[in-house]
Amino acid sequence: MSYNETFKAALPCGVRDLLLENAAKLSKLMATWRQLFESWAYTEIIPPTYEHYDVLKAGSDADFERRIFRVLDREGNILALRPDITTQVARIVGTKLHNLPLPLRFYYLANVFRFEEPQAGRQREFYQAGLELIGSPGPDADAEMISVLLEALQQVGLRGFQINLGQMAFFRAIVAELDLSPAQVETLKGAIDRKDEVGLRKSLREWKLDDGHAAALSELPHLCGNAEALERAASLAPNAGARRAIENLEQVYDLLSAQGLADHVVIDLGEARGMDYYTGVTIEGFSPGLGFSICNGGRYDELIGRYGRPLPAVGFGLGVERVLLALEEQGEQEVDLAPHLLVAAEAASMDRAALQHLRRQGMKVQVDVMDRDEAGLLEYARVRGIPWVIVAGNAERALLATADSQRWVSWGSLEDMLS
Amino acid sequence: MRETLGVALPKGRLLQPCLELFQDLGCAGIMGILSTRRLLWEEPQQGLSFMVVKPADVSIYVEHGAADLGIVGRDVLREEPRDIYEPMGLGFGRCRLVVAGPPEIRDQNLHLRHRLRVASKYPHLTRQHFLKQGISAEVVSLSGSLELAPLVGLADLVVDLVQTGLTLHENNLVEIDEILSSEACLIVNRASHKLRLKEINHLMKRVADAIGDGE
Repeated sequence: MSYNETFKAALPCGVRDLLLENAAKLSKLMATWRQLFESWAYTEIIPPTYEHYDVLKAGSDADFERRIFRVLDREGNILALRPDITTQVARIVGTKLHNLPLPLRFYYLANVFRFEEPQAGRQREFYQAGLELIGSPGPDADAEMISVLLEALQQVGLRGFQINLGQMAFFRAIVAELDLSPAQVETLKGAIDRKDEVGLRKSLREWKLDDGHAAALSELPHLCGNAEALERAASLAPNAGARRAIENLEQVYDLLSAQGLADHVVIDLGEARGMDYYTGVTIEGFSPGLGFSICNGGRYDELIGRYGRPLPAVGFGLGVERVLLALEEQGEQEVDLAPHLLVAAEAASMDRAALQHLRRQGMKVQVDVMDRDEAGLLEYARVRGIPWVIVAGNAERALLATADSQRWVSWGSLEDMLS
Repeated sequence: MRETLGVALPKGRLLQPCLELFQDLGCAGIMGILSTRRLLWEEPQQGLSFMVVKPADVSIYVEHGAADLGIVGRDVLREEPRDIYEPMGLGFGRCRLVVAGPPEIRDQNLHLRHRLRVASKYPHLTRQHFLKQGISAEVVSLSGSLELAPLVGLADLVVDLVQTGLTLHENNLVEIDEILSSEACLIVNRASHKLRLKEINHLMKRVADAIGDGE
């Protein structure tokens, strides 16, 4: 029997063990973002891993609903593993937190589950880091979301990324005025999603839409760029709703420009995809060398109302594994898991306070529990890449060794020696 | 990130017209792909690199961003939908995916059959097509010589690509229904489209001009 058979190495499709460097990188990223989000005065929200399927379903569109992992509990209730956090936040805010002063600011660092073929940069279980800003319908809130997102990506060292801003309200306002069946709207969305202009124009001709609406819809795939894309969109807007939608996006863009943040931002009205719950500005981020997006977000003014008191809200979620891939793609530094100092067990018992002091300074201090002799300690340190070893010690001093030298030093001077 | 744009091309019947298209765009030596075993072909002057892969793999390369663009038949795209852009039909490689069977089956009501077995290289599209009509067909997934299946009793019907219909005719099969009409399509990775929009638009414009000239 092989080792693997004995120890049952098999995993179900779509989950993985995050080990050593991979685990360290993931939590380092999340620790950086936790600090950033808290510095913007967001508080953490920790919803449960699973809830009632019907409740989550109420906040999901049909396509998304199919990807929810379902399980039965012993009473036969259908439960759902959370496919995203935003829906949970909407439920919590709509049903429990509607009396708190607005706005509410929440961040989350959490794993989510989607039943789909493991795809580029994504397993069935993956991690998301995100924000929700609830209570404000204004462009300030959208701009805050995007500035924190930019900071989050810059802070972890990502370069050359791009944030595409769309406006779901533009598409919605145009379509709302047309007398289209849901199937026709799906056809439109499908053609726009595929950037299939020929198909798009063909449908528009077949349905004999008036010129203004048809022109705006068929131009959608080309409304991409910076301020001039907004101007063109404004001139194409066939009704007041569509004009308001563009004005709103313009306000967000101007707020970002005023802060000098427009460099990474591209206006992109050529998308009708994304969660059904988006009602306004949408956010999608890309990084060079990665074939898929690294973050998604947008305004969802109608989602919380599905659970209780209607409240406007905006948010984004970063795909943590995908950002890690993007960083790897640009050759980011490996994390160093090696301890700074290895201490023989007997020596460690001589001055525990000195070692505690080193740990509090942020050093990783490992005490030998394998009863290794001096040669064994040095060999283990070599293999693990530990630069310093205390091979022996007494009440006053420690025998501090590196790969090629040894000297007796006082416990008190260790900090200076090692730094 | 690659300097050039990566283009995935499909092996098989679409390869020759694809190469001719890029030859028209100025890739002078690209026909050399036909006589080499190299899988990656660089055309640095044009800012393009080509990879030649199986037709069903083209959209995989493009979805993952291993290629920025690709050319593949719409039949393949619909059989295995992927998250990519599909901005242009290229006008060549036209064919149709049809349901065919022996002539006598034309007069039958398929709903009344005890069992309907359909052989196809496109199991997904085939199943969908029949389910839409409320027929739960048994789909036999084959990888070639479809027309043989009804002759030897492996299937009642076949779903296959036809260009001229000659193969059907020679095997005494007739067309019963059309599932889709196909042509070669240009596909684009979503992130590449966002990050390298200018280059891609420029290339698409040149492609559109080249096809326009040809017609």
